[in-house]
Amino acid sequence: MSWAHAGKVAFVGVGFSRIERGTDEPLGNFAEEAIADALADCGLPAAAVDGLATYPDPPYLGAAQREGHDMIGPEYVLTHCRTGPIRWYANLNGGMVTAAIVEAALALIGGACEVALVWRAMHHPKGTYGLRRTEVASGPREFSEPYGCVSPLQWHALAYRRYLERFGLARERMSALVLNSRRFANLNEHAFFRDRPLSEADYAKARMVADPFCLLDCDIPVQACVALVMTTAERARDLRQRPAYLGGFALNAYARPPIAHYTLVDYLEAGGQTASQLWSSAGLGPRDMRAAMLYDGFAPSALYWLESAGFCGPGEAFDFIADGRIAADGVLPMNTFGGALSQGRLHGMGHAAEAVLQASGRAGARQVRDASAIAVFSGSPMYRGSGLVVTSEP
Amino acid sequence: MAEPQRPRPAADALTAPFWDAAARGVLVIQRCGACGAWQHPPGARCHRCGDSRRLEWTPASGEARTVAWTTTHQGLVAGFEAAVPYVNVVVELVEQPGLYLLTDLPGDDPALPAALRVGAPMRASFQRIGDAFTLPQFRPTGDAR
Repeated sequence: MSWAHAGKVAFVGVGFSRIERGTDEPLGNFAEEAIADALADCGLPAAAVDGLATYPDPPYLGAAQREGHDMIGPEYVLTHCRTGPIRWYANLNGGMVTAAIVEAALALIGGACEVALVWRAMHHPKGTYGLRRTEVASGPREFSEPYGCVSPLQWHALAYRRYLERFGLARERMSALVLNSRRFANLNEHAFFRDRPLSEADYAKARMVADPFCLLDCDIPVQACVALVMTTAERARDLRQRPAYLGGFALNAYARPPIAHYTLVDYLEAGGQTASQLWSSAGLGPRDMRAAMLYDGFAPSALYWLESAGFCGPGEAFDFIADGRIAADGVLPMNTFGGALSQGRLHGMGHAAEAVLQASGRAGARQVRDASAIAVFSGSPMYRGSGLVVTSEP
Repeated sequence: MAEPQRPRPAADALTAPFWDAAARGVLVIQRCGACGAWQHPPGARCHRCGDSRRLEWTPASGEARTVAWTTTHQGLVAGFEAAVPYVNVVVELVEQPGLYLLTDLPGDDPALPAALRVGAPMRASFQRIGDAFTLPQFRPTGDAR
């Protein structure tokens, strides 16, 4: 059923911090930068903010979780960002930052707050990133960690292998997506790889990390924060920027069988369920989307979304991304900000921010000609994915 | 290749029967006495029918087929750094579609080519890990070792 409040919530401000790697600087500094930038963008004072939402999960199992240093929850923001009295907040633990955006929209519709700040801050400290240190495995990990199969990188590699085998595809074809993302990142001042071009030869010689993944199939971990200011469509009329609107949403609540690692078995089913909820919520379908921001923490997730959301058929994603079809002037410009692969690992917030910038006509050199409706899918379709439709008109 | 320092399973009230059986060289999997579904990892309820009272640890045949694999080229878990490259294989037990277990093989294991093919037959074996625990592993059928 179509969402009765489609077009009634607006994105009015977008803010970015610096984007760095391997820093000991507290993440709080980056969050404050992004939040100040988002507020300046829409012209609202911090004191106007009365709602807060984030998805603060640490970037990997076992990462440090010091509030203000490694992660930024509502507590930090309401203490340090000079907001107004907070009437509503949410600290989400699933659905990635899309879920925080959805919660904020529902709070705005329900009158729980008037101006909501949503952010995602990710840390990337000095030292080894993502190395799992454990002597005792517990829970479902009892059945994966003793085999040295501990990381989402490996779980996704297993799923990707199955995808490639199922459809008889060669992993080298992923270069079309990776290079497309890099070309867009080279046009984006907020991308980690803004100054570093990438060639087909670079991709071909990238080292393997967990076969079939090479290093360039994985997003680039960064320390950064991106913030969005959301309010009602009514209030948005008086603000500085042309707003973008939330046209619909979906959260994956697929009853996943208990397994110790990701497999591919349910990507079309789980992702398809999320997508059909999104299309139903927005009253639009994949053919109505003029661009797509598809989660690419590991590159194949973007392929799975293309297929499970109906942009192409099962096993057809490599054909779909080839020959410029996902470039700026293609049939479906995709990850026009560089994706997590080339902007940086922001757990879906970069995707949402770009949809807002595109729909409000503010994407600069990356602007697509028609940005009337943009699809955002976050996470992996088989595990707690989520989606938004962002529109240029209410 | 160096044998890795493997994390030890906690073997709590829910999972201990799996590890106890493995120590005896038996692969047991939770099975629902109400609807017959197998499930792994174990849970407090049957994933299919929701029954919580008739989940029973049931010996499985140990026969399986290869579903997917990945070769890990960098240290992702402390204790496995010296073991790279090593291969993880997802196998599906013949008892039920989607009933998956993991195994690992050294990157230079002569049995690897036989294992890394979708549908390749695999069979459970049991690897004693020091005096800590016994780890079920899967190897291609016909592998003499």
